[in-house]
Amino acid sequence: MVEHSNFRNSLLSFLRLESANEAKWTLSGIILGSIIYIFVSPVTLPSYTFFGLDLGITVIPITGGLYLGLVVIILVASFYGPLAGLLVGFIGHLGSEILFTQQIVAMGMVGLSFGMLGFIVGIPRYAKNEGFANGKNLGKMMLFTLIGYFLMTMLYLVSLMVVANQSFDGTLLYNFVPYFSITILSLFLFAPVFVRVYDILIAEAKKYWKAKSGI
Amino acid sequence: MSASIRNFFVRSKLFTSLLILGIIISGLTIVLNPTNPSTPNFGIIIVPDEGTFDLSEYPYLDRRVIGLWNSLRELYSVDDFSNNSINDLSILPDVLTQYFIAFTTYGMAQIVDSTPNYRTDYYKNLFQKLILMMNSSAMEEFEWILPGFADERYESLGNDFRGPTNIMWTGHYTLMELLYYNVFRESTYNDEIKWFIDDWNNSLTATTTWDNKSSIDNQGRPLGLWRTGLIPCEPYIVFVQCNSIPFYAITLYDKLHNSNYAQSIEPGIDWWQEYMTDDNGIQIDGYYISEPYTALHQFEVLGEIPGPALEPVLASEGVPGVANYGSSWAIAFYQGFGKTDIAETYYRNWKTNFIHYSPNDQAYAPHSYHNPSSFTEMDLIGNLFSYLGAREMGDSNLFRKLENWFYGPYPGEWDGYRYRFDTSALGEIGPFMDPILQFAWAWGHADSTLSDLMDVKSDSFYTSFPYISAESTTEGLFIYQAYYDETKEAFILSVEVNEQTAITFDQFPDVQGVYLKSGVYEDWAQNGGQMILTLSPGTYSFVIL
Repeated sequence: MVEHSNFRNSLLSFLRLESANEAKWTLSGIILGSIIYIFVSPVTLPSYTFFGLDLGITVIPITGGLYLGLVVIILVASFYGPLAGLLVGFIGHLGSEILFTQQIVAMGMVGLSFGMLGFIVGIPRYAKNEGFANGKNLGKMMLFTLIGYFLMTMLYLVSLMVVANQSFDGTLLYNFVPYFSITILSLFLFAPVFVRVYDILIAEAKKYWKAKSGI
Repeated sequence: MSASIRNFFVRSKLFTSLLILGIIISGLTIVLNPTNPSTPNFGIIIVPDEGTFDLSEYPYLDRRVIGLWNSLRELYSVDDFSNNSINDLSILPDVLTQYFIAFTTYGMAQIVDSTPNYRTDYYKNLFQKLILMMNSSAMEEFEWILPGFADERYESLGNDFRGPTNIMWTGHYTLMELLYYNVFRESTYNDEIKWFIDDWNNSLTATTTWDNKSSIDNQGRPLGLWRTGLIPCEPYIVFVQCNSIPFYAITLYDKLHNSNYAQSIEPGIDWWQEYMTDDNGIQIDGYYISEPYTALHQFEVLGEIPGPALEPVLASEGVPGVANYGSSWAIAFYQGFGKTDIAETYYRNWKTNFIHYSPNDQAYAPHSYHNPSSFTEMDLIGNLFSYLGAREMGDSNLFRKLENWFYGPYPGEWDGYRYRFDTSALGEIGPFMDPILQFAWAWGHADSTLSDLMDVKSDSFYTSFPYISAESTTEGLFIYQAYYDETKEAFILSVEVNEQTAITFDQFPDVQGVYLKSGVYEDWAQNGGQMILTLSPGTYSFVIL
């Protein structure tokens, strides 16, 4: 009975649902994150193809730019944990498909693979040891992003193979690789910057509210 | 910089490094992206006593489409009709050359149809040049003699470049000529068109085959000289996609001339659905009616003849071949000539079996779903036709995804008044891909479709209504809208000129006034049945009554 209770508490803690207050923030992160994801993911930001990697028969564009949807997933996962990261990726992508393309690819498995990224990034509690003000935490977040990105790619490829009958190498080479450079920049350059800036804004907001409420 | 901020950045080394790198890449992205001139907003013009004209409701051309047309005019040297020039195919890839010329023309017809009351040599010359190149000695040598189709072993089938077993050339050539007639209503090529239509009709309505066998289907309808209701490409094989071209042409011819040739195509359409569709509901890529002898087939594993061409990687298992390019090409043209039920069924199957989705807003399709790992020129050609097929089917989501994938590596750029996609990132494949990329985007963004072209205009549209018949210069001239609204008896014109330009309208007597958003435009003159509009550099939207 005690073991069962410990497991339950650990699970709730892992999912950032341990207390009513924490659950409230996690739920807010999921709702707001999903809404923001849905509306920013189709936004085309300026992108520029710096050069193309010539593979003889086709070209892989190396493109500078920002894919805001991925940044939102990382941001929510970093602050509100794995459940929030998972659901923002899944609900956000699914919502975006339904709203803007009226077509759910591979029965929502693409969204689930995006959710996998958020789930992995959200595993550590980065708030300990000065939060993201400590470069080690930012580095840890990037390391988990790398792991999440790998698993996301695998899940994405497998799900498209199994559910949508796509070929593994065709999907990897001609669907995913062209997408690679812009996601790498978004995940490993822009996402950490956004996370740190968000962290500073949260800290400043807390200071402000503390000062205002005289605590 | 205050000490605390400096300390913050010094202490946050990882963040600061990422921030600086992010700013550099963002800055480069913004700086390197050129600010391009764009298509204007056409807006609303209010004409006193005549009402309100919302110009956005009329067909228009994107500025980039006109820029691509200007690039094509330059590529094909449209003012040079010399023998040397029309026989110079070196400007095009040395494979599938005839298809580049033909499909460029089909895209052009849709562009012209987007501004139907603009009919000058600016448009016509490019059609005429391509038609001449298609019928040149160089093309005959390339397309028929070099591959060995003139071989005497094909004599009983027919080994003549201009028919009856060369639908891959005769179909395209005739449709190019017929579309010229359709959009300009000039009878320059009508005798030739009629000759080919009759030749196809003879082939399709025969009840005895080339080798003297009975050729009727189970409804008693003729299945033609090749007992398939189709006409061969190369003398020994029939393709659904190649036959979609003459079928489109025959249907269009009937509409233009009130004739009844189209009944000859029905048995073939039923036949291929029964005998040339695989287990996935996809048309198979070729059906041999006789044995091939040319070097093209020396390594090919053949199945039973007559019978389907086999998938190269699964030939030993007797699996019929499929080809994305052929499927999507046929779907587009079947939709175009009104066989929408067939087009929709095969489109649904094609989408399920071919399309590969990307995690972002992109999609691509392999040449064959039996061998999706391979990637050759045929995969690129397949994606071109997928792109055009999705557009013809009105599937704007897939069209956008395919465009994002297909055009992703090639930024579009302006060179003066010419627009083109920069293919410099490509290596050996560059000369092959370049002409495809240039014409396909223009086709994809014209304000007309193959189906729209089938909705033929009345003769009086061409003989009675006002149209632009001449311009003092085409340099820097962008005619975005040229449309005569028959109901309101008003000419809608949106135009950008970059130097002083006079535009001449024919069949436009008794013009009452030229109206802009800001009021009345005065710089025009009536000259009998002609009206001449003089414009200084600028962008204008007019309603002319």
